[in-house]
Amino acid sequence: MRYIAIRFVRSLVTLWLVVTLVFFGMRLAGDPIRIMLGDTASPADIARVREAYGLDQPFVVQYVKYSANVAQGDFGNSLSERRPVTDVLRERLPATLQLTVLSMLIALLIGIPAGLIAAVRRNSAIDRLIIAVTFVGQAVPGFFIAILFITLFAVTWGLLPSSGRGDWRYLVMPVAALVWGDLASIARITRVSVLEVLNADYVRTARAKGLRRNQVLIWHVIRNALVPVLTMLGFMLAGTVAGAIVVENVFAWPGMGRVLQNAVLKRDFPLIQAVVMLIGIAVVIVNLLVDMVYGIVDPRIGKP
Amino acid sequence: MKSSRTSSLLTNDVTRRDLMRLLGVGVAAGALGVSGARVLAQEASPVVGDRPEITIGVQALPATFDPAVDYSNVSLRTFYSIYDYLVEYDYLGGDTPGMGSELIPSLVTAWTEIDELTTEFTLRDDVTFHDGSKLTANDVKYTVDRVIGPDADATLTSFTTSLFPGFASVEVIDDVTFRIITTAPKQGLVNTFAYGQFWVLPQAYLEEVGNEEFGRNPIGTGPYRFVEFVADDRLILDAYDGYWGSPAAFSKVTFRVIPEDATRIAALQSKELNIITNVPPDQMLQLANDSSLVTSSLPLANAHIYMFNTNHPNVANKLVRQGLNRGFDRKAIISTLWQGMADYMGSFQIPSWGDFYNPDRDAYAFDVDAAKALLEEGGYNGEEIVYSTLNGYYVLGVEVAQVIVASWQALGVNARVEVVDQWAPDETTMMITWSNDLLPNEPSHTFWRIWGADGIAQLYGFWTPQDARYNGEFGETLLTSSDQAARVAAYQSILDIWDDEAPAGILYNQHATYVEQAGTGWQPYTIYGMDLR
Amino acid sequence: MRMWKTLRRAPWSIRLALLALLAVVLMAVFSPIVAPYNPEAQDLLGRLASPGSTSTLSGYHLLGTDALGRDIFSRVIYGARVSITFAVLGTVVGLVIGTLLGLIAGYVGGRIDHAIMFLVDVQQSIPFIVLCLVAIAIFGNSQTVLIPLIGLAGWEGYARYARAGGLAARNSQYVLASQAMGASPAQIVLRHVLPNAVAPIIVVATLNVTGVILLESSLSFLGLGVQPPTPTWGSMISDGRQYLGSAWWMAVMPGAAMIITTLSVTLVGDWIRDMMDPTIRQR
Repeated sequence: MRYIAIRFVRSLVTLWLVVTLVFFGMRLAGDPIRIMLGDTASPADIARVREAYGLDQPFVVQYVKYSANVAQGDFGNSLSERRPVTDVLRERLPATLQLTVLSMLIALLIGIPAGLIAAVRRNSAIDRLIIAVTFVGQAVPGFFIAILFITLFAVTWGLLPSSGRGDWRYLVMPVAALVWGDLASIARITRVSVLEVLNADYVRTARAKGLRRNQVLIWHVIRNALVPVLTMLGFMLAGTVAGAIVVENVFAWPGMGRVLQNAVLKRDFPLIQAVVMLIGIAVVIVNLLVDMVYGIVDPRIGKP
Repeated sequence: MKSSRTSSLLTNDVTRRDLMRLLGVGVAAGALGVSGARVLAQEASPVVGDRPEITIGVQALPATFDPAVDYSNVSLRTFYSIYDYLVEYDYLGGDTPGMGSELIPSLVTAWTEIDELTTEFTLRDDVTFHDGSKLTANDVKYTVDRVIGPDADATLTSFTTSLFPGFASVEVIDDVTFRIITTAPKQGLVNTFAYGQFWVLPQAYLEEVGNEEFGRNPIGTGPYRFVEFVADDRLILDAYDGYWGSPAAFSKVTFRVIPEDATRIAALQSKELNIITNVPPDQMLQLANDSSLVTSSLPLANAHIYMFNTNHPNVANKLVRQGLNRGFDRKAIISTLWQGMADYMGSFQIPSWGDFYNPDRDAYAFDVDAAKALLEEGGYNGEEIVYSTLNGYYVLGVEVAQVIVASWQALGVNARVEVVDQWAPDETTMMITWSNDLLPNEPSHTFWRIWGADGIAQLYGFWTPQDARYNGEFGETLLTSSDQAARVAAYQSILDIWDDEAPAGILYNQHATYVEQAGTGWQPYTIYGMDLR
Repeated sequence: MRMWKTLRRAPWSIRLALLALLAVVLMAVFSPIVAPYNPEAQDLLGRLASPGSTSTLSGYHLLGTDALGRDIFSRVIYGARVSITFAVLGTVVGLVIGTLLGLIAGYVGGRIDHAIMFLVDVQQSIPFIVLCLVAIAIFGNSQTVLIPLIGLAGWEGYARYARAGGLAARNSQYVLASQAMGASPAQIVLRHVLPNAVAPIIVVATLNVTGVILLESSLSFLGLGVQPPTPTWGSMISDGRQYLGSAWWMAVMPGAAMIITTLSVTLVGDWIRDMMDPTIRQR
């Protein structure tokens, strides 16, 4: 338990460091006031508005103010949408959660068995087939698959709605387009780690002892092979959100990926910082959960 | 000397607006499968419950609905249905539907010039805001003062100094009369209120709820009422039955955001949308083959240009700039990349400006030899010329940039493209893409607002006219003289200087492109705003 | 000699993949010779020409032309240059930095280990697009900036495995013995630690190569990648996506090239890994 608590605190510190980096980095990368006022504003106008928003003060001063506010739960107002950042996130988070959680679940449900089978039947036709299929989905850029799906299923065959968010029918294509990246990674990682475990000494010993093949497989192999997959889970989440940016764009899915993309384009500092924090927190939570599961799955960890 | 201009409302309304509305109702009803009587041209008034709903696919929606905060082509499109201007251009009049340029009354019924600094306007007395309150001249004063008055709120970001140069004050005479007073005689004053910023806002409501809440729940005098807005997803409006003008053609309008072009087109083809906007020219061609769709394109009240930084040593010599201006074939770009959906401009002028337009003026005629000669005469010596273009903001901007740079390279110029993701030119910029409004009627409220003495271009410091008469006598005449012939002559002189000193190069006057389901019957205008009456 | 033998025993799919990779590398290295046209030569009148058509101005186009009339075949060939460069150099950058840091972290342990793992956490928590934007805004988006940037996108993968290797080695008999005999840390690391960590690192590398190529494509999609008119597979696919219904060859040709390359890399990578794993080699 103490181990987990330490990890938690360390993660929060990491998170804050990330936010700080983003804070200063974004301010070096552009000027939101310029963008806000568009290409018809004079330098005097820009200066005037910048002052009204407090962005003309030295970065460090801004940083101190921001940190103080965050400590009190105030994450500022979005510059582009002119309302509290928390409102924006609250509105758009569920959409992306829906997409990413569903996508990662499906990737796990299909990817782990696929990797397992591929490893058990190594070098066979099925092994190569699984690698190739999961791989092709990952190698083709997300927007390519997405537009292909839309053209086929929405325009040509009229089976599914082309874009936007609504009932379950609207979910099918975006998830189908997003799932490939994680699917391929999970399958490959599972395959490799299962292969390693299959040939590890203790497994050979267990088999030598005469345990039936299936028993050996399910109990020892899966438990140990899962470890690398679990390790990557938290960070796969961050990667999935990045993939969601493209998918949300193509499918006009009103989620956080779009929020982040627009915020970055418009240099909407408060919003960018808040989204980074949110993603970071999500990753931290997932990693914590993974650590707790570790304790159950892998008996080697957690001992003093 | 008094000059008064009034216009009759009746003929405009019954003939054109009614026809369009009825077309919209009757045929759209059929297209959407609503079974209802086919409405013939001479019917008196449609039953409210019969009006269909419509869904429009757009690339983006504004983040807030306060016109003083968001002023962009994205916001203009939807604000047009929620708010009204004091005056309008008669878009449906004239030779080409959607391109009309005559000023006609809107919220005001008439205007007269009291003296050369004062113009008096008379408001309609039957206009109500969406909350039922009556429009008075106080609302007009409030709207104007809010952005450019002495106590203007600094956080209202689209308050720019070039909004209304020369503004002095608004004087309210009574509930339906007010006067606009300027610091100097200002020709073309009324044009300022036909476009852009000055949608009339309700003083009482705004003062009650404050700026931020107003931006989320706006109220205007327009034909449609704001219902719901989900950021970056959809905007829903429904018809306002207390509207003073031609009633809304649809009972409900939904604007859906679909940023990706291919998806937006797919949604139209799968019949999920009725109209889509911003369709790239190549795709327009393809969709024109589909008989269930109707494509339309007409010149936008806007031109793509590039602006030079005349202070940068590599382009400081005006002959070099002239050479670059003439060094690529605009007409070829228009006919190939734009599929003809853009108009060639010889300088900063459009035909609807009447006498101000000189068809013989052409500063950009493509001529390889002339261009080379100009470059050499200007002392060009192989310095790098960097053409900066915004990524994805101007339609075909990056593609056109590559064509232009390739043409220049063929002339022997050491040119290259630089794609930037922010419009932030500084002293290292040599030239950057830009767009300028090309509003109807006459140049002083459009060209001069941008390139004049107090205009953005000069304020940026990238160019100061070497010929002092530009800002001096020519500019003054254009702005203040009441002698039309003198103004026309002054504008010709202004353009002569502008062409010669070449602080910029105009690319073309691009078209706005729309595709709709056959039978929707909607007519686009030259401005960004969509008229859904 | 041994390598030749293993090659000969390789299944046909692997041989095909190796051949494909060879072709791509040759295309990349010898682009000026292989490509029929200048990839930046425009032909406005011959825009969007379908594969196999001939334009009066610019001649025969095996794979068609794009929106500015440029020959797609030539652009795919030159695009290989960019992709291979990114893939190889980017992976090398990530691999070297990641492995080094990981090895040090695992072997030395203690505070340095914590510091390096901290760095890993930090980097994995920032959405890559934000990191890219900041870096590009500060350093510009020339290829010299983009390659290390993209390479850095995957360094933590190498670091983790290298660190595991370093950790294991630290306590192994080999290493203790070598230390006792006076070998320097560098020698120990190179001689004993590295070989054990190599196999998973290769898998990570092959996973990352495809990732690198895809990353370049995503950056182009967002407008942050290599500047036009330099052809890259990623930007070609991005430019061609609105023409999928009409001039599909604009996106499909570079897409096919990308898929073939990444598929081959993956298959070969897995095969090499399988070959190098001593526990699996019996078969």
